[in-house]
Amino acid sequence: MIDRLNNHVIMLPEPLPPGSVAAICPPPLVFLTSCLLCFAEEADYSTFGTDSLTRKKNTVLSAVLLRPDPNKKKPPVIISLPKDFRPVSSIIDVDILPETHRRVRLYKHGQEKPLGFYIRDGSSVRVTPQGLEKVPGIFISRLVPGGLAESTGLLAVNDEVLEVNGIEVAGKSLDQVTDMMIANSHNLIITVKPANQRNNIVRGGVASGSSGRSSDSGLESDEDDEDLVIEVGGEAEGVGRSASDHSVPSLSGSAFSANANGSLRGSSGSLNNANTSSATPSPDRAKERRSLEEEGTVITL
Amino acid sequence: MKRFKRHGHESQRDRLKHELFQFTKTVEHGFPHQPSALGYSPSLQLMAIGTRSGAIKLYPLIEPIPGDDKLLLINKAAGFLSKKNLFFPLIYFLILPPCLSPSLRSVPDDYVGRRNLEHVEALQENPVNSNQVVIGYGRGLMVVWDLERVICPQQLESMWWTEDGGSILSSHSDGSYCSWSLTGEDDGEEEEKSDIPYGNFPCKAITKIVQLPTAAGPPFLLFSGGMPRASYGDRHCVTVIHSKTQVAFDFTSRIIDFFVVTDEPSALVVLVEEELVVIDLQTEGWPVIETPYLVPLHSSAITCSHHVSAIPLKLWERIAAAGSLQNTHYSKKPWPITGGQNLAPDPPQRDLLLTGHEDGTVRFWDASGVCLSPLYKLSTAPVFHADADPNDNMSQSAEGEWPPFRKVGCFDPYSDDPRLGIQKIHLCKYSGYLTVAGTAGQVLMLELNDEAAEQTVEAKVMDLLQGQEGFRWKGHTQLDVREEPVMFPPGFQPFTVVQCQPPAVVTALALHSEWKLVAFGTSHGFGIFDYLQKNKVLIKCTLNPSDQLAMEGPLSRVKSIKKSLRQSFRRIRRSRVSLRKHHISNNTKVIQEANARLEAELAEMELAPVQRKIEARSSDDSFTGLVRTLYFADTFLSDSSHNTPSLWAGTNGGGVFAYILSVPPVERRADEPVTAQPAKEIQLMHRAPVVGIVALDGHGVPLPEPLETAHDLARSPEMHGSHHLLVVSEEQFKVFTLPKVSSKTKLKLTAVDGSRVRRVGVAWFVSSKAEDYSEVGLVFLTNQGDVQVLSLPHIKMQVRYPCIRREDVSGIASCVFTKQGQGFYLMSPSEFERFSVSARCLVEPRCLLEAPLHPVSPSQRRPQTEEASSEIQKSLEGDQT
Repeated sequence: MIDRLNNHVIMLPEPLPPGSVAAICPPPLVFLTSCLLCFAEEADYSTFGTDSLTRKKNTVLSAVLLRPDPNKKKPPVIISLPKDFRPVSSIIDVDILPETHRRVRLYKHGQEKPLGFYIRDGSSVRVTPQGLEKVPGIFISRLVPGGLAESTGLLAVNDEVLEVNGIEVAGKSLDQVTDMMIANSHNLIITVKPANQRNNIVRGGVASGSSGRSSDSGLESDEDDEDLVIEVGGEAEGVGRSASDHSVPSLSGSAFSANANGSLRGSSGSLNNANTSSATPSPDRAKERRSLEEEGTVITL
Repeated sequence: MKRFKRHGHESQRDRLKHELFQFTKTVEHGFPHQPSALGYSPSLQLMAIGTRSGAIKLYPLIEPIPGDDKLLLINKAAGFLSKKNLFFPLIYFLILPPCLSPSLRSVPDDYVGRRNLEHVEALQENPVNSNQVVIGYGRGLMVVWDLERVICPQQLESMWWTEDGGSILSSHSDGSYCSWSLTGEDDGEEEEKSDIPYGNFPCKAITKIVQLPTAAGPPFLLFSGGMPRASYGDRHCVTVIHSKTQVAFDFTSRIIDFFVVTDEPSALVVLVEEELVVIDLQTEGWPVIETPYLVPLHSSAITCSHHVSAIPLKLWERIAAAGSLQNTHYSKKPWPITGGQNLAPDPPQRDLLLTGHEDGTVRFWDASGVCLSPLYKLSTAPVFHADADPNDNMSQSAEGEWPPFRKVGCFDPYSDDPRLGIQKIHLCKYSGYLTVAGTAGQVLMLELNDEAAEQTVEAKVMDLLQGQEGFRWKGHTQLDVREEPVMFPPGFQPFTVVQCQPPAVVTALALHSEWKLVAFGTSHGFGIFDYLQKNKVLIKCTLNPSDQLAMEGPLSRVKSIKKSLRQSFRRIRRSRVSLRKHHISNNTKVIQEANARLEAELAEMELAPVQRKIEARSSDDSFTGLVRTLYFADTFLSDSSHNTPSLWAGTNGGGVFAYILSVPPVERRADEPVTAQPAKEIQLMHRAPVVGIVALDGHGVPLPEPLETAHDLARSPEMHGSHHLLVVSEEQFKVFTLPKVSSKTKLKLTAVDGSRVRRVGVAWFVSSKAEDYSEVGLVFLTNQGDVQVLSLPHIKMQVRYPCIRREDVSGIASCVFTKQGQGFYLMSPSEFERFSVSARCLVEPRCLLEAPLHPVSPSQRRPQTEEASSEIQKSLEGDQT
């Protein structure tokens, strides 16, 4: 079984539907496995994924996408440059969360794909010193097909939302939680208690159960601070922030060294690279710039 | 060590916070929502109004007592209870047992042996012999306790003892009343007189009847109801008959109750559902006495409000003088309800609360003290061609009309034209300029004039679309401005009206009386107008072409709701039709199936969980271009050495636009044009609506209002050192440096606790301990109904108080803050709740009621709460003499 620690799922904006041929699409798009987070029986998937990532020196990767069924051979797919990859989601803080919980980070920033999920009110049963207690809770009620939430496979209908960016939602109304999520939508970190507890991460020998706060500085990420300031008639600039605020926070290193196997460690390096390279303008950012340029203004970020 | 130090510092800060901030709900202004009962104590000169929510409010004292309108108020019995240095009276309640079984002689067989005599309808006490109480039962039985019984043919509505205790008046459901004389112990009373005042045709019930003697001459007879059923069954009337004079006072809402201030009948006090009307019965013509409190704020629905603190005396007097000319039809008699003493000190300053109304009026209220009293009323409707003549609704009764109606009261919820509705108000207290903006994109500039003037209002159309293509306005048309000169009474007189095109509702308004500029914004853009030269200075379109809702105007949203409603109805109808078809086939099993399907469908509609979509905001969202806030500031926008006039505009989509204004010096101001150049645009990445913009001077203090320093009422802003810009969005507070707009500090609100900023204001908090210590803060109200204060310029959270229920959306939307840390919000359509976040600045009732010292009658006493009973006893004892 593969430990799923701080796995990043890397996706391109528009994955091709299974079975489609790359040549049909004019720009060389790449379909990478939509979910690195796999079940044990699909281990070959992730092995493949990480392999392809470790070979990052190849500027253009040309690879055959392997399907679980080897009989169905797919035509070759062109994989684009590694810098075009960026994280779309990850599981974080596995070391400090109880096994029954999952902290998922969705990287909405600079993506066309909608977050694509709905939440609802509900009730859940908690274990308290006095015994079982029924308490109100917030649950995921629907995933939009093709949305970011659905495509990562990390969130599911009826998962209970426990925290939004490190802040507990207990005692908050549905509208409050909605506003919190939308306010954090550029870098949304949701801690859920999955309805399906069968796919929980198993941590060999490590005592668990503490529901500590994330040590990942990602919870305080300030990526939204890049307000655009346009000097009309002059040059535009991003609102000055120190460089550290821009960089995507590094992964939780301790969790890695404690649990990750070699191949995963390798992939994490490449992921970090991908993260830092994401600071370069994404296609969406470029698009935004273009639309503003139409109004006769110049922006430099 | 460091930690220890910081801890000490924090506790000192906490102490300071206690001296600066304190949350109190102080006064309720306006007319109680849904009144249900009225009581009056002649000895205490005190009036009580009960409401359906269970509150009993006492006037002139305003401490509410929780209670229930099923309790009967006995007038003469009242006591007082001391509590927290405040004296407030406790009305003495008598609860009637539901089944009295009086030992009566000659009780008709129908009633004998029945312990339950139906519900008690009325109760009155004999004024000379308090051992006699008359009780009226729902089925028409009247019982004089210890005395006699009276049977009437018609259902009883009310009864009244005459002053000498010699006879009883009874009123009935058929619009009649009877007078019964009580003479000694003989076998019953003679029906002396029976009359149907508006007779001949069937009449409605007389719900209450009162007869009061005068020192010389015939008595006053007053009754409510009794109108001819067919022709005037819908009128709400109280009729007063005195000698040959008879008037049917015609109210616009249902009559709850009335009483007369006695000795000599001097004033009739009528509580109707939406207002309290007091009629002077001693002055010829029975004019109305103006109410000093309990004013129906909602005589036309309130659409916005604006508070101006510390009005200069001169302006105050001019407004009050203009207002007094509007109130000539009121009686000169003083307010007749005079109980208690007001111990509150005179208000330290004169404050104005301006309310905008649906019918295009702006009302000016004296908000300095506990009583919110009307000062002046401005109507903007005469500027426009309206469908109806405003003089129409105050139609005087035709000569010889029967019943002799006279319209009284000012509650008039019907607006002739919703486009007249007022949306934004801005008053400059130094110059007397007022700008008022409304629903159909109209922006009026008004100037205070002590004389009446006939003038033409100049109309300027400003096209905010600026050639934006693909736009369809489906909303209302713009108002037609009268081209001919209009006669305006003394007061605020309009001289220019700017009409936005498309005529969408004005969403932001700012006035700079020193530069003589007005800025306004709608969902399409914003503009600046020079009201001295009457020139357009700037038009900026903020409309996003992909914003379909804004592109189509306000009606499309209504349409989509209609559409979805229609679809749901269709779905239901379809299932019903299928149901009926199956019914014809007469197959029970099929019907059951169809029923089950219908049920399931209904259940699905009902049980479908409330869910919320989680989606990042995008630039394509609806109404991103809607202008939420406009702000004039003299600050550093181009470089750090030269301050310039500037205009800042914030949009719904998180955009901030800054323009440098070149305003010519005063001597050339009338000739040279004012120009505006775009300087900066900020797009907040979180794209939340910008609800407030404030420039902070070199000391971190918000810039003063225009003309404030010129009038020596504020110290000049610090122009050395760098200025900062505070941008308040619904989700975050951000401070930027000026002139190079770079982010300095910020405070996230929504991301942390899920609440959003709804209303925001700057306030000065003076310490309750030391008058010379004050701090400036940013007060805001969230969608959760919490009032919070941030320090400036460091934007640190200071205090947070729950203020309004979060479900009370209209209450939250109506909130305004004062410069001293007080606030007002509509707790009902007719009442403002006043609150204070300041520990020093409170406007709250402080009053004393001296209750008499002797009781009415020991037999009527009922035990009260332990500590109060002795006090009450004393007071009751006092009432006897």
